[in-house]
Amino acid sequence: MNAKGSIKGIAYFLDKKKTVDQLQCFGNRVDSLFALKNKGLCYYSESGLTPAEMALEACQKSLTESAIAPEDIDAIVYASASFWQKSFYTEGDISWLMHQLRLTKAFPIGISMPGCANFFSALQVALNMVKADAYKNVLLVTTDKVVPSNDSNRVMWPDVSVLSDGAASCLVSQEGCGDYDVLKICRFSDPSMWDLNYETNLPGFLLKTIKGSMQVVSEIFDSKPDRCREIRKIITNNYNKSVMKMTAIKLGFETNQMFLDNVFEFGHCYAADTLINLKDFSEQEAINPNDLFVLLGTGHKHWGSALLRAT
Amino acid sequence: MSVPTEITQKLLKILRQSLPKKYRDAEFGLDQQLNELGLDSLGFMELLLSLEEEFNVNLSENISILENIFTPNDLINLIDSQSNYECRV
Repeated sequence: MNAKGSIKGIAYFLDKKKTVDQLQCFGNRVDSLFALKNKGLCYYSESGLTPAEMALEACQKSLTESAIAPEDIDAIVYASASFWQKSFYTEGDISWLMHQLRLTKAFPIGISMPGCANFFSALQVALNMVKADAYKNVLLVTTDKVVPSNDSNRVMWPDVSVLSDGAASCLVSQEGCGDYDVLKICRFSDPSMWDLNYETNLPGFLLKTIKGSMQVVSEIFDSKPDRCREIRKIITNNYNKSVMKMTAIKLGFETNQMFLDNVFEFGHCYAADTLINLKDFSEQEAINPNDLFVLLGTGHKHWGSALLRAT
Repeated sequence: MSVPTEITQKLLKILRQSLPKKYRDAEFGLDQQLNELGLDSLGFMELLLSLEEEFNVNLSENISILENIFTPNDLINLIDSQSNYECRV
């Protein structure tokens, strides 16, 4: 599937930074806390805002950074797995968000099903609108938060990761108009995993997760693994450093091609991870024209990957 | 039917390579618990990928079986049940 389009104005919102030691749920499971710290996790982000309010924070930055007027936005693609939590949303939230952003000519599209791979479906939809409908600017935002009733919800047990509340956004426009051209997007789902529980069958879960990742990255490279060497960085969801390094190796990358810094900073922020990581990497190191990036997202049973080229 | 010796030997060799360094030369029986050999979930996943490659099997087809793998013997029986390994000694 060839993608023609570009992204720019990447921005994000993370809120109060807390240490994993502050999570009371580790009280009688200190072995999990120790294991998570050993795997590079230290902080997470906790927000009192709703997902829509976090989306607003991120989107305002995207509009400012990309210098696009709100009235020039043709559509907003809003991705959130938190729709399942009815306490997070009211029917008016999307209109409220669009009103706050002054999107007078936009129409909303919702993405929810692929979970932490939501970004890739959202990007595909946005690119299709740019290509097929000749939309000029599509605002894409992914936003999620943990159900705050019990801080145990924040941990991917036993020692996979710690979840953060946050949002990330970008503008999707025509090819050549952004910071990165999107050269290709691939997606894959494994519905046989529908009842696979990572708490009771972690090896099986990890095995399937790695295989799904191998599938979408192989497709991105047209089954030519040598192309890994051409990639400046592979940007994935943040789980933990051990799993991410293993993923890099199994996909044919060197571990130093994986961006790991944000595991320490905020752990796993749902589908927002990849945009946040790309943004932070681009601020840490100079990006050269034609640098290639692979974005990889895993959403339990769904995977997405995108090949980007810096403009 | 007993499990072919070659499967057992190859599997034990791969298993040792997947163990943390301090356990690689340790003596253990086929009924030893894998977690007592320092094999965590990530190491176990690596081991499964190596076994798939070596024995040309797909261990993720029936993923629920993996919940009941605790010992080298369980692994040997799993591979034996899925492989078309010709070389039975």
